[in-house]
Amino acid sequence: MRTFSKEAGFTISELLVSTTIMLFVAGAALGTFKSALDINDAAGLMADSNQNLRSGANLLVRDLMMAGRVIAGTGVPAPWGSGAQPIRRPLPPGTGGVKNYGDFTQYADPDGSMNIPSITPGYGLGPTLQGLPTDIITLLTVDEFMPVVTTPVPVVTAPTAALQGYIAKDASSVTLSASSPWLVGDTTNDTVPIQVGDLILFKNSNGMSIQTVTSLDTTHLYFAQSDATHDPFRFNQRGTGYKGTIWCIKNDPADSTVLGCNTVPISSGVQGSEFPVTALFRLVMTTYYVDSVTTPGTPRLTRLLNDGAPQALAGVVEDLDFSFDLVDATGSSGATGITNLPYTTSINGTSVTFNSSMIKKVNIHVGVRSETIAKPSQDFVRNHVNTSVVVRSLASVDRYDTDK
Amino acid sequence: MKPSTRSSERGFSLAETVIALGVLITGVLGAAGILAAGVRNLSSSPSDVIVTQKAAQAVEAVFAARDSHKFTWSQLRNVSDGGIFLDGPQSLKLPGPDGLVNTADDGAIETIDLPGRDGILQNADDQIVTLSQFTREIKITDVTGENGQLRSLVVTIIYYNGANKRTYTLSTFISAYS
Repeated sequence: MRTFSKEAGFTISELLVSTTIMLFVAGAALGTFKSALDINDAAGLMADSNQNLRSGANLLVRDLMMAGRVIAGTGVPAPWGSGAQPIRRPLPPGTGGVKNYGDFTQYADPDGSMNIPSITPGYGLGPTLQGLPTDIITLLTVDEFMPVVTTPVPVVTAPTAALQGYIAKDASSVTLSASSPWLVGDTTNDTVPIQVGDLILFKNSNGMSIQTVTSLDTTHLYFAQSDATHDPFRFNQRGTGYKGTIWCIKNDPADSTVLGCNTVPISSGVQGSEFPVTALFRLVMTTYYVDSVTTPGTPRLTRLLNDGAPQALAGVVEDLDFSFDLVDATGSSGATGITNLPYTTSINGTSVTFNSSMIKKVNIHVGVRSETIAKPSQDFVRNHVNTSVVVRSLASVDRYDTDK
Repeated sequence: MKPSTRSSERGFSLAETVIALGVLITGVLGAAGILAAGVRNLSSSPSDVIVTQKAAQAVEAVFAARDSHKFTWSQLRNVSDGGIFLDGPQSLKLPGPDGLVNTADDGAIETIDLPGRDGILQNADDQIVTLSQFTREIKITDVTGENGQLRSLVVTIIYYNGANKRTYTLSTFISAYS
């Protein structure tokens, strides 16, 4: 029994003291632990929003840098004139995710021709976020990974070489070799073949034109007119009364009135005459906008190629703004930070109008926030970035072209 | 069973328990400290996104200076070499009338407008962040053996996250031909 006297437990006072200390210590430790969990949660939100901003801004900047490839500052003529429908561009989706389109901001050259510029601003055409309307932007560029098809001289109506093509006399189709990478792709270079809905840029000594592929078979691309499903932008307009159509880049034998291509520099042409040597490119129309409809409450920066499936790049966008520095920003016009085009100002007492073809630099403001509120700050985690992109294909200044 | 064996089965004393708890808490707090350090590190990630864009912007500005033909090839150097780009680290300023950064006519230090707690942009609640903790250096040097037709272009951005200095460098080349 003696040994049991040495096994006495804690006294009640010892127990009380130790329990109290334990409670204080455990309380402090748990409080710290909870703070650590909250901070960890906020860190996750921060990493998430930054990753969103990084991926969205990087792609946007790259696309802007490469805008206008092959097209440069002149833009591409588009059908216009009596009876022609305006060329359209994508807009952010409407209620229920319905696809929306708006008319392109075309501009008329002094000679009367209508052009779609490499960069088309869309000031305030996006949804209103944080009390301010957002912008959209539409870019035209040439797919640099797609081999260029050319029409050989003399004309070959049934091309055999992979990169030869023949443009039908009415420009309703292009004939290609059955082995053309345009039709079968090129696995070595990871080139995807032409798809229905792709845009084709025709460029030759008479100018440029765009057509939309509405169907294809093993040796042809077809450009059907009035096909609203596959050509929602309405590039395939070739009416004889229109101007600026693909017929206007044909050879110019004599009759300048038949096709209405009687404005310079769009040369005249007669249906049936051949095209001069023409290079064919895959054109990509890229549109950036904020989509606040598909995921209500968490607007997304969205990239749309042609009329394809929208790609969501960055979540919970708070702001998307563009402004533009124009060609002679170094002059007295002070044409920098212009939000909408055309822009008219007075230079040395003369009214001067700038249009989208004069864009040299694009200033971007993109802002994102976290999906949920961070507990430590009881606010969203935000990250906004401003940057400027010099559009490489539009940066060169032609000081002798007084027309632009 | 020998009752005496129980004498070696004593529980911990209060002092031992308190010391053990102290060690445990120190460990837990230490772990929390490491977590906090990790979060501090991560808190620079917004700046990381900004500097990548600002470095690319500077590189593109130099290319634009070449392509626009507003400047000669001999001007596309640092000031110390007879060019237009300022030597050494410069504050992250807006471009001046020449449209280029890190030149003599640069404007004010750049700011970023955040919508503030109310989530509305362009009102009194906005949080204006001035990018004063960043410096950017554009260094242009001839590449030897290229007859002066190729230059190395290095943009270095230094920024601080608390007391931690961080550096982002973007290196490329620029040719006289565009």
